[in-house]
Amino acid sequence: MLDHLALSESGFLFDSRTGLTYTLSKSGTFLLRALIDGADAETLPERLVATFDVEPPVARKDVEQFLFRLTDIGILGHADADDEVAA
Amino acid sequence: MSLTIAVTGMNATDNPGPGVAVIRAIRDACPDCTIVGLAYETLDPGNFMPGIADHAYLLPYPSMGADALSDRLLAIHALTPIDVLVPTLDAELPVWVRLEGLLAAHGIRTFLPDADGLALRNKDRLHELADLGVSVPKSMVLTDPNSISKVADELGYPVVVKGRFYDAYVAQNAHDVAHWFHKLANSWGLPVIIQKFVPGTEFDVVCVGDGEGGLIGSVAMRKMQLTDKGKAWGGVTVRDRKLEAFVQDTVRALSWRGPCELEVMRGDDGGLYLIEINPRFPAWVYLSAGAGRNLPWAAVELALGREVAPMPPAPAGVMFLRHSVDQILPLSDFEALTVHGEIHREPIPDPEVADAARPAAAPAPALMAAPPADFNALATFPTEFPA
Repeated sequence: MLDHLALSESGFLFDSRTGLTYTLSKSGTFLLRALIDGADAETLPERLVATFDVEPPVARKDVEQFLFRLTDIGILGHADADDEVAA
Repeated sequence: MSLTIAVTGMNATDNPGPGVAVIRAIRDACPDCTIVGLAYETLDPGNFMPGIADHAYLLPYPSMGADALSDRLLAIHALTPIDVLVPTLDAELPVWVRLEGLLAAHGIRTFLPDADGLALRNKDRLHELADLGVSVPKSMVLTDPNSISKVADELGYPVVVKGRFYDAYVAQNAHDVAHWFHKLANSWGLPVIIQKFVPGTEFDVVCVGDGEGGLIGSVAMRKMQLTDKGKAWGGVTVRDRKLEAFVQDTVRALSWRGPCELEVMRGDDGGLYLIEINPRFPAWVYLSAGAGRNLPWAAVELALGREVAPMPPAPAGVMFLRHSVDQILPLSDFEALTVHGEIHREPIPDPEVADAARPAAAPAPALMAAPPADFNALATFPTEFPA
């Protein structure tokens, strides 16, 4: 559940649990929007390839790094995320 | 009937009192209310800000005693009859709590914690809340520097060294603790509180409790920028179900009555810890009105004995940014406050008309004689304060 995240089309992200804000690139916005809308993380590389001019190996690596970064800064992967609520 | 509401804490500086924010929130809910601003310093900017106080008065410092404060307030009350008093400063609250019965006898309502509740939130007693089931960091209360050697065994480093009333510093070892112990003891007296450092993120929550364990409303905020004193200069509302439950549990455990600010750490271990309770509205409380949960107005209504339904949680993502403005004012305003201790921007009410429009005051408590209002107090009010 990522309903604690408010992501605008411009790539401005607000985490309602922490009050922190972020600015995402166009491709980052695309990927996180897909996750918020319920996409499986496994499908992200092919979605990226279908939308952006990027080779599959690069897309896989980029998605992997992006998800790692989101987890590292606490946006994804909170064990108690289901206990949290959104705006 | 138009209400007259008196609010203290008019020092809208870079270390602001909550008065101006409380008044702005009350004005949002009640544009017709008459606002009496009560200040301890002539140069408190809230005394001079347009649209804030209809009448501004100086008060003697609480350290001058309850009699001086009550005499002055009742003299003000005789000129501009007050329906509700909202105190907003830590140092004055014990005195106002003691005077609650006297004020009620004169028709001045308040909605404050009782003396026991107020004492329990003192920094040197915060650890006692653990007995009530509230999660607080482990702490020690030191009155003697010889006990500093025990900190390592009992708490482990790092720790936060806190003054009795204000200030807190992180200490990494006994040498640091000794340094801050002497500095804080010198500034604020003993004891000094040593609290286990909780690494994590701080959230501040403004609340109003109904005094029976219920939470009327709360707004949680994360500071986005700070002054060099650590005061919020900008922030954003947040929502977190665990934090909301923590706040409800804390207010229930304390049966807190009136406004308060809870300072809560979300530890890196995922736990929530209460690190401080301020027994009054914080200076950022106008954010509560901005987020659609007008807690100052709720406190006024509760003081008036009105039913106030518990409010749903405030939405996340409402921001505030503080700013500073050079306020131009006529020297006559400064003169009025300096010489007479008061400024009037609205006509002073006709006492007979005002009395007729007001409900009867509560009966005087048996053990408290209500001194008559003393107009001379206005003329003899001191214009110089102790440092």
